[in-house]
Amino acid sequence: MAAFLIPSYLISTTLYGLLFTSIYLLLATGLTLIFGTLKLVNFAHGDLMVLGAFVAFLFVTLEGWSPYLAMVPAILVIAGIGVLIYRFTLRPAVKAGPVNMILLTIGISYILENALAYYFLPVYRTGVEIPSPLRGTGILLPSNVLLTYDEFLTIVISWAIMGVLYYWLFRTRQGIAIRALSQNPVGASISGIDVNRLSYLTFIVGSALAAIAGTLYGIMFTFNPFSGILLTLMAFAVMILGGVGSIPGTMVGSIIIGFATSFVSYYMGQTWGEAIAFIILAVILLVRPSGIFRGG
Amino acid sequence: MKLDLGSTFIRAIAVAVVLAIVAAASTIMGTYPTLIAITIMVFFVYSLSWSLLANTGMVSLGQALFFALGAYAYGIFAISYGMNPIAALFVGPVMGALAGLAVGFISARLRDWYVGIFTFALTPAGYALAVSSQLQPWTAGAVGLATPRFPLGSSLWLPFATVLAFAAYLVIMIIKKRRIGYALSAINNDETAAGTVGINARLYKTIVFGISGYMAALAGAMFVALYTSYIAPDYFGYPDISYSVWPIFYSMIGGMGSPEGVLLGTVLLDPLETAIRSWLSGISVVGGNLALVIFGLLLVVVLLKAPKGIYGYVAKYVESRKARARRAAEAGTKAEVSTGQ
Repeated sequence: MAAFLIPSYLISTTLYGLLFTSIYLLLATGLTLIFGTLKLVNFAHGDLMVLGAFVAFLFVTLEGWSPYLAMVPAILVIAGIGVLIYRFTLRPAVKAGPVNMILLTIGISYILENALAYYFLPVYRTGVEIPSPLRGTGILLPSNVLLTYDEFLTIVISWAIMGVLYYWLFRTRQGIAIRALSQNPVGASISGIDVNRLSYLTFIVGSALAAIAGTLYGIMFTFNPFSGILLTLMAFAVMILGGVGSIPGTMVGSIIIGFATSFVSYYMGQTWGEAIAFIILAVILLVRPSGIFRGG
Repeated sequence: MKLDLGSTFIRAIAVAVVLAIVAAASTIMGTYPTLIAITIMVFFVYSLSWSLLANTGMVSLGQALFFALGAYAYGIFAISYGMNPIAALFVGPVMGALAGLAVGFISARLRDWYVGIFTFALTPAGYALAVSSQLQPWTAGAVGLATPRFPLGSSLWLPFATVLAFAAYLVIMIIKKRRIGYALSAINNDETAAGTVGINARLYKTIVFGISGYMAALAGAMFVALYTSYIAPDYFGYPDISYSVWPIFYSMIGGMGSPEGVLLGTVLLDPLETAIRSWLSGISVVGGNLALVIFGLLLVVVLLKAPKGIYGYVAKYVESRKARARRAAEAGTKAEVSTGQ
């Protein structure tokens, strides 16, 4: 317990908390946007994220792009894959009910993971990280803790994107239309909103957020084809904790889960750091299944 | 839609005959087919445990938690506590039942997809426990646990597994025909309405999770005792979700609405999967992953095109034949009546 009192531990744990928060935020916002608007539970969301990280990785290692530039092709590819998945599997199955939907996205997750493993494992074996030219450089914080430029950029990029997203959803006509759609699809359609087009747009934005989160994650952490499951689960924990479909709730949820992961990992080991998110999830499901902020 | 072909008794006989044919044919064919037949029996029990929950409206995405618990409990009872493996095979799954009751207690309070995410989130926790240093003396951590030889002549392993598989089927049928079965199907149709006629949905859901936990754990213990003789942490379905996904494959593709559909799915798909996987693994190191991609695609296609599975197709066909015959008979009677006048 005395470890808590050492400033360098405290500062670096806070830093990691912020990092986890930023990545979970992007991931869970995509998930909650898709769920809130399309009423679609996507268990393949974390796999889309890992796939995005892998696309960026290929552009960096094979083409020599900067990892932050490689985010662009990652977004395009993942948004494209997202549209294909939505068009050919999820959209036709909406009528089939929640049970089939869940199993369908699990099936898609299984396909994505194993397809990636098929290309990934023979070449890259256990896991890779996206190489960044900025590695090792950064700003020296008090108590000799180094805030690398990569970490700094991750935090700045993710909160900037959240700002843009918030503006889009709450201040533009299109964003307001999407929120109308999430509240009442029939009503939205009656008032002249193109439900079909906005549904696609929502899925594209959600997938793009996963690709961005994936690239940022890949720059700082090692990933492999099966990393997606844990990330999906983390995103669900954040989403349920915050209140399904609520953006402010997702922010609070990702701060709680991000900092809990960071602090517990630091003081009790990584296994428990991952488990704490699910302990919080189990408690919240038992006590208040609608989350901190009731979704809307 | 009801998926009923014939009376309960005839269906039970048919299931017994199919299981007996699978066992007899594979025994004649040799050692390797016998092993495959054992996995068919194991995965039949396992898939039944999953579809029992699914037919109560609870989608478990972490069924491997109970499967792995059963496997570990069997191994630990047999090795660390020197229990007779035959006894451990039946006592071990009690751990699965207890875990099932605990998970069910929470799941019964959650709606549809929340159950999926909750059960899914438990598998990394199970994995973390299995590899944790505190439990290392019992679980042997990431290395896995080698179990002692099962104390029955190896020619008896398959018949033993077959009897257990049929027993699991009978348990499902008995549940179906009892008060609890009707309560469960009422809950599945409309939980609120079931509540108004005095069915305690939460209690029934918790109980059914306990039963399912025992069955999945029994399958896990059978898998280890009669097939692998080895327990690995990835039985928890993490990081590779295969162990949680298999019962979904077999149940959904066969037809989860009835135990006979689940049997059909397991008997058809399990050997097919093994064959494709060993063929592709011979070609490439990651051929196994390619085989799983193919099976994932198969699941997606079935969910989209035939959500009731193969058995649903058959039942629909038989139903329409019956309906046509009935209509023809009615038309015949009318014709007779009119000519009589």
